[in-house]
Amino acid sequence: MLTASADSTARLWNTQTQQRSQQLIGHTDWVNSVVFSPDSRRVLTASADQTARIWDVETRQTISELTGHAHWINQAAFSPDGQQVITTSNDNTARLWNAQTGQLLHELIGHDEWVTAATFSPNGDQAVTISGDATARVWHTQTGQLLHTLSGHNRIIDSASFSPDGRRLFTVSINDNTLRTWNLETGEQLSVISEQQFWTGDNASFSADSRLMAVASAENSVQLWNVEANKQQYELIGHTGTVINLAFSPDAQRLVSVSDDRTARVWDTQSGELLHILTGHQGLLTNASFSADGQQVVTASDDATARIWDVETGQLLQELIGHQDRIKSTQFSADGRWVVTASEDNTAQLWQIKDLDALLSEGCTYLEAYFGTHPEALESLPVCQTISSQTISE
Amino acid sequence: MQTGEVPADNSEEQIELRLSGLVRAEQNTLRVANPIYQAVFNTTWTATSLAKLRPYGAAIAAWLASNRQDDSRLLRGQSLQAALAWADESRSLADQDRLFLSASQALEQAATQTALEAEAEGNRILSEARQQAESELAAANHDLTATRAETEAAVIRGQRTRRRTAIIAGLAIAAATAATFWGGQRAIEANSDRQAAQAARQAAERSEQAASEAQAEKDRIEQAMSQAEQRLSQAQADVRTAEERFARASQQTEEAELIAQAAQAEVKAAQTEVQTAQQQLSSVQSERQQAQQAAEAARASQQVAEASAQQSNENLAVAQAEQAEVTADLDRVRTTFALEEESAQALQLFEAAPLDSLLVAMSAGQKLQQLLEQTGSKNNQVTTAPLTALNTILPAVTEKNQFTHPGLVNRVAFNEDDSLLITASMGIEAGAVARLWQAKTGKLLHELAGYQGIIIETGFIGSGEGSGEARADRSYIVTNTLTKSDGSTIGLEEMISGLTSITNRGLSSSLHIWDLSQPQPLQSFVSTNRTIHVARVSPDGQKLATLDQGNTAQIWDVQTGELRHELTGHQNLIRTVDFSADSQQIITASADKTARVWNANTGERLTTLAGHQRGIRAAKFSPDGRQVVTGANDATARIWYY
Repeated sequence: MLTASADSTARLWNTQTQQRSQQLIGHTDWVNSVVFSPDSRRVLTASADQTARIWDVETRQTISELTGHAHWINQAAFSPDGQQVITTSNDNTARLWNAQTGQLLHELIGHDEWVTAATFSPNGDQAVTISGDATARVWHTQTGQLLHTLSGHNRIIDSASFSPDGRRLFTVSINDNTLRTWNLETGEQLSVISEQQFWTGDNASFSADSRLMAVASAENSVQLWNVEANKQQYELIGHTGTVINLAFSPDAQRLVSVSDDRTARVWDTQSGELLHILTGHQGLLTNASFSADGQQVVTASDDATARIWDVETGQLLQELIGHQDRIKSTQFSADGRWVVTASEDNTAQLWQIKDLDALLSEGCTYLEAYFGTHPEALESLPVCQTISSQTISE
Repeated sequence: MQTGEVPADNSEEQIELRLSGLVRAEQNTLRVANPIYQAVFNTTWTATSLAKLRPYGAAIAAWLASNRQDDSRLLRGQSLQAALAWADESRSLADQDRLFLSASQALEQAATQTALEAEAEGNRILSEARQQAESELAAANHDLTATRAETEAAVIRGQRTRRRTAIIAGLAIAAATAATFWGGQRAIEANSDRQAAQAARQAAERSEQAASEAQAEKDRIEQAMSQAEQRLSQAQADVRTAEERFARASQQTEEAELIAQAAQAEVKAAQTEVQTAQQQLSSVQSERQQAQQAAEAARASQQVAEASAQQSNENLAVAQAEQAEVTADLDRVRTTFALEEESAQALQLFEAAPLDSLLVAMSAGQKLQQLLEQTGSKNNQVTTAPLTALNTILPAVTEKNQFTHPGLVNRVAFNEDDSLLITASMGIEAGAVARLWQAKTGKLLHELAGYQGIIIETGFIGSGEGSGEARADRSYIVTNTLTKSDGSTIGLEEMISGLTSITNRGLSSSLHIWDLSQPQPLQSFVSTNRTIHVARVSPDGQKLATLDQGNTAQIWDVQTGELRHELTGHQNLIRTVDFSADSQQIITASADKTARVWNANTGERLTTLAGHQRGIRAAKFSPDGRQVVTGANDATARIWYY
């Protein structure tokens, strides 16, 4: 509960912090990824301890522990209806689980290398896994049957995304410098685009509607591609270090890029314009993610903090202090009430996001005892008078 | 393109495609040579490109959109010819283009056929009319000819009859003349010639009869001639009638055409009437509008005087509104700036005075909330600075409350269940003051004041029963001799001591723990170069904390007498030290205005409690270990939730 900070500055975390950040304790090794369930009521963590866990947001208790993988779990994802969970592991398998009972449904065997990530199709009937073996594999989620092995890339695939109708799949490999489109009815490759200018980094990202794809390119720039047209739209120039993570806002109007120049940048995808430079992290940034309404961005860093920024103004709204080690993954809940962070300190933490009214209310509650000894302070804070009188009447 | 391959037919287009390298022939089929081409030159591309190339792009798109039902979208006339010409210019057409163009042509041909049929029908009707007229004319002519022939025959016959009559009459006259002559001669000669005269008279009578017969015949002939002439004129009239009928038939044909023209003219006239009516309607409307405008103009002119008066007022109001708006803008900018300033101030204040910084941030947040309520805008349109300040301060603030005293606060303590707080102070004027507080609300329950002296310890006895004020009587203070202002004294209360409270207040470099029943110390701590003046044993009896009038504290192992940890970091003299009830944590309070909480097992610093404005004299954990109370030279006691 009490922790020392790595640096010499006074960093205070306390019971108040504990109320704001609720630790999900149980993993015994790095937490590699974390996501909320579609209904924002559960959290799914994937850990290097070879387990994944489903947690209850309200109680912070583990609901299910998904055990069976024989190596690191890299990533875990909920199906669109929240009923299934898929995990991907360095044991070269992916597994499908019942999200309610934690029961193993299917072991997806076939990849020859680490399975790095998985995504469900929009209707949840299929899931695609991508692997270090340079293939993407499409599985039937009800039967666990392998439907297609998409071979064509000759290096590791970095990202895969379904078309909104679920009939095509887009894959991108930074290492082989290609963007490919696949027909999911036949498993055939429909097109391949090979970019002359070499891509870099280890992140490429598709927008939710698969309309846009962002990929880190040489010279610290980001290429923004129109996927449907197989055409590069913009080259986003400004970072002074390699771009290591990219995320689109849910409406694909904004893109946030994080770089080892210790900044994150917010771009307008319509105009290619740089909107804000988010500076302040004391370490390398690892990850960034938009809130469901696209109004806020959360960035995670090696400095063990996550920061929440206002997209409109680029201002820092909140610094999430409490982890003991690098934060690898972070996400807003769909209902906007929480941010969850996954760290190499073996925990995930839930952070409550408060608007101005909630913050003032919290401040009033905190100051309640102080107002008892300093009635004049209550006089000057009318915002606390109603709250205070309510408390007294209790 | 949709299927990915097409049968090879060695057509010119296909050869061209193969030569271009876009496709390759494979077992009698053409495949796209490279999937890129397929991706690039996909149906969307083709559709777009064709749309750009086709001269009839919009028409075909609309036609296709109607599921090929809307014939009005098909091409006609010149545009069809242009499209066909374009199609002929060697371009390979898509199926849908071919369908579109052939449908257009079919429609055009059908239209032409209909026109031709109508024309033929018209011609047929006309020629029939003509034929009829001609046949009637022919019939009339025939009649005329027949009548003429008849008339001529009649004339000839009449002439012939007259000639014969004339000859007969001549003969009769001649005979009569001869007879007359013959009769006179005979009379001279004798009476006997009477018979001859009589015969002559009979011959004359016969001649006269013949003459009248001739005359009758002549009359009859003349009558026949007049009849023939009458028939001739009748025939001529028939010719005229036939000619009239022909003329009438022609006229009827013309009339039919004229009627058609007239009908068209009527349609036009009707259209014109509609237009006229519309024009009239619109003119009526415009007249009405004009009338209304006129009325309004009248009213307006009536109001001009008032308006101009109002205008000046309004101008004034506008100017005032603009001024107000500018002022409001300025206010908003000032407010925003002030909010950001205040928020920045709150953050700056946090390290030194956390509770004050929270109050400042709350003030800024309250102002922002009021501003947002007034303007109905969102905070990120004004400033997010107060949010950031509150977001930063609220999770980090540890200082919970401040309890003021009239002098330096030198002793503090919680009761068993953290509900009560006792604080003691000393002051030159106020002397020794002890105050008992309700910890949660900060309510002052009891005060002991008016004495000179120093309170050397405060505390509560036992766990007791009940809560709150009911247990106030279980608090105690330990003092040296306290003298009331009137000179009277109150007695010393003995401190209840146990192993945990054994202290050595002597100025020595060694420390010994004694069991009071034993003659020898249980443990001795040799501390060279240190003058230990404060020592506390942990509640579990395992650790001993000492202070040596320096900036560090020491943690010793009671069992072994070894120095386990040296707690370094304070910038000034440490005045007091306390263990948490579970012996896991230790707090040090220093003249450097801070108190620090340490892990008693590892010596690791857990937190620094900064906020006092002067050096701290006293610090105690709450029994549940969640709170700390400190007392300082700034005449306050403070509670911290760390």
